[in-house]
Amino acid sequence: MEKYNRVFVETFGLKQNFLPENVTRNEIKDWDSIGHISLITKLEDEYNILFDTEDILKFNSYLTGIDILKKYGVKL
Amino acid sequence: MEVIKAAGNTIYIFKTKVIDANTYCFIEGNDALLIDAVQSDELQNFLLSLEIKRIAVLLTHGHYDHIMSIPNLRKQFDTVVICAESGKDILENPRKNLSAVANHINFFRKDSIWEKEELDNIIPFRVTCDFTLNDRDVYKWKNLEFQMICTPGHSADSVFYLFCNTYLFSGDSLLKGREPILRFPGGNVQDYMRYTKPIILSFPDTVEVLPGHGARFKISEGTVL
Repeated sequence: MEKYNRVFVETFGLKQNFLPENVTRNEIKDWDSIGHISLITKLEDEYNILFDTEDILKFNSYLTGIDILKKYGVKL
Repeated sequence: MEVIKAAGNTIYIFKTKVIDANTYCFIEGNDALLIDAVQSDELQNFLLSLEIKRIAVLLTHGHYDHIMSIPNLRKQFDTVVICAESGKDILENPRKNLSAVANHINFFRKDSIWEKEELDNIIPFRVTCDFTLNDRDVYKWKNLEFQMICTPGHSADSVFYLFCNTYLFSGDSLLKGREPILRFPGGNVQDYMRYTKPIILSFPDTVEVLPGHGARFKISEGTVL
């Protein structure tokens, strides 16, 4: 989970202690179209996977992201 | 198409119907020099109407919106693509040139960087580069000279081309009324602040900017972080 959290923190410039599990796309200022693509590509690089389009579009919260990564066999 | 004069040379400007991206075109005989190659049927038809045979494309960086017409240009003209050394890998990778995620960028757009408009469905693509330039290299085309200046930050391969010490083709590293976007994959705030911002601030007020998006402007009007 440490890698996953780090990608979130770095991508959106969050303070380490601000990463509540229930956070969604609308609650993070920089999680706009550019932030989303940046998050997706960083996670792909980090875990050496390629997200399907459907999953890129579904990925709208911290918890959803965890579920999606599990589909790709990522152990968090 | 807009036509302007720069140091006695004619520059033809072609724009995309969305996101206002620019291609700048010089013509001499059956040869054309393009700075970036945006999606434009008008550009393609213009080159065909002039019976252009050879095209050199100087790239300000490798993002999809600046390279989209290269695959079609290569089919119809003897085309040479030139970019910064760091751009080769970006051009050849649809994830890095953003063509693989362009539709998602549009889908998720809630920001107001550009007005939300419909984009064509973009199919991921790759582009190959024929040769590369290094920082401060001068590219000679006919009797014209373009000095490439590396300006990392928006992307690792972002560059300016300085023409006649007066005209600056700035790509997406310097725009008017829009801060440079440094959050795309490969973007880097530290590089922008360390390298690119001092370069921008070093130019005299006489420099005119021909940006990657939008209308030209005086360098003092550019938006710097």
